[in-house]
Amino acid sequence: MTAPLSASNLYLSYGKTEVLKDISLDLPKGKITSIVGANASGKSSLLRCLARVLTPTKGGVSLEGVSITEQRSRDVARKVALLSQTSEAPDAMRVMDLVIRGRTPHQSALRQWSQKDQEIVEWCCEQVGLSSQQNSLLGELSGGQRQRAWIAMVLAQDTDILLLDEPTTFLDLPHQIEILNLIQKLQKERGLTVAMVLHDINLATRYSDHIVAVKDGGILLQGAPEGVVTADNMQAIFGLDSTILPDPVTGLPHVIAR
Amino acid sequence: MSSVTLRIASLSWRWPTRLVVVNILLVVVLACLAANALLGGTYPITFADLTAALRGDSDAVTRMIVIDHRLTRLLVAIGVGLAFGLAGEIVQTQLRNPLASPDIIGFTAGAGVGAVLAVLISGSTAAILFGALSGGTLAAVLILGLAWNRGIRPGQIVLMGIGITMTLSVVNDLLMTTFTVNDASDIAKWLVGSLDARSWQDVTLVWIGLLILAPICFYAQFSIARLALRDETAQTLGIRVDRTRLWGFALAVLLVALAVGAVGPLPFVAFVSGPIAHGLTRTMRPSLLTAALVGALVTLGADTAANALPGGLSLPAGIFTALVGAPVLIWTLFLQTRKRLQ
Repeated sequence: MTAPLSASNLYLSYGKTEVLKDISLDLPKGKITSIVGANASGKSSLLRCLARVLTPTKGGVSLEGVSITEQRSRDVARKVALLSQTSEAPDAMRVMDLVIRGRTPHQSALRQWSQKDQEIVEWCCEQVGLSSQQNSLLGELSGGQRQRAWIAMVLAQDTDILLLDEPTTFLDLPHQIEILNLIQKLQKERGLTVAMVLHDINLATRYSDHIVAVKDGGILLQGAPEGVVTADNMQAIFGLDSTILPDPVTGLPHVIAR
Repeated sequence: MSSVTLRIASLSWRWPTRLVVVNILLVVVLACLAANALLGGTYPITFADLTAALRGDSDAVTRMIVIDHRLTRLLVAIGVGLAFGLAGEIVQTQLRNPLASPDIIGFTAGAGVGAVLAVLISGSTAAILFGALSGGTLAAVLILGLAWNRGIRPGQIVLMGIGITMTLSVVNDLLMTTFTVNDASDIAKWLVGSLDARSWQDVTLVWIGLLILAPICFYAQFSIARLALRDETAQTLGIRVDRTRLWGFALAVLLVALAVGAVGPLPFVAFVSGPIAHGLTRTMRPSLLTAALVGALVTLGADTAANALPGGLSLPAGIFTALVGAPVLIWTLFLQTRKRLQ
């Protein structure tokens, strides 16, 4: 079975700085993969290469077995959605405006608001719990609501693959859990292939089927959370001295820093 | 924020209700100003005279005043206003910066210098449009080329463009010194932007150009609107960002050259149209139609004011567009610096 999205011998450099080195990765179909690693380890760059936002210096990314650069932007956008880390929007933008933007790859200048667009946009707003705020300005929303509006936008793209770059940054713990629960629920219901960059190793353990640990631009190790999250590996990935305890809620390994 | 949906077979659109209402009101106001431009003035023309002249059965004097004088002036004013409005809205939207309008980043100045050079070289005004097109295109290519850095970087274009505008105004001053006093005075008036003595040839050029370019603009609006988000977001939505921007710049240069060729580098119309339009509609950018209508209103309004001065004094319309534009420019700069300081 070909992976829906995979990288092979990927290299990326900005000038002389090598950001990614020889990365080969298959995203498991219909699973949640988390990419973890220290700051500046290259995890965001990896995700952005997978999303075709960054062009690798060497090697390539293939989408459903076909090189992603050989496909039309629009076709790629129908299959892969990316939630960026920094998501600024114009002042006058309302929740609806943003979510409708997610339909772009399915629309054209002459077909901007089909019945199907409307149904999907309304469904997405409902899924993220923003139905009653559809007409609010993005600037009037709380951080958590705004993040949910952006998630509604990528959902409206109606893709099988969802890439999320730190979907929980700037959110407090209850909102982080809320967003991740939502992503997990949607992923299960729709059989999506999800890859996300997460900072918090414990949240990654809890919400992922597969963890990819990135260090200095290369993949250090990957596998199921139970195998990846060990004291030795935490030392290797983050340089963190830690104790691993079973999480009393999930039974999964939980990292406690020493 | 209610909205209006239009679906015909497989075609479909959605507009905020307020946007539709504003557009209708703008058309109504524009129609009133147009009626005033045709009927008002020192030589009294009644509505009956007007319809007779349009049908072709009126006396020669009325005909000359209505058809050859007032109507040409009116159609040129509306046409160049629409063109400046469209061009401004396209560039400001796709660079996500109200300062990035064609008249501030050098497209208009380029077209102006090109037109002056064309007059200087050919010795006649016939080559003005060609000069404006060449000058505008060259300026745009220069600005984009200098600001190009693995793609188009909006911030760099604004700075580069302001530099080019300043350079070009010096070039213009230099060119002026080569004309005779009489010619120089005419050219100086043209460089402020004037609607005096427009001919049917100007009308035809402007409106044929608009009929070709405006539909392309409205078609491109879909992609250009996606550039109001960050480049990366537009790209993941399937928009080819650099390609869309190049199209937008090309359209803006052509529209500006068309307008400059007809009335000279009328200042600030392209710059103020978008911000005024969005102040009225309170929707996100772009709304090409609203900005175009505001452009037409500002131009026609300025020309009306320029002709309604006491004592029969007549000034170039550009002086009045500048009177509207300068405060908006200062206000925009104020808002931007304040935003940055926060």
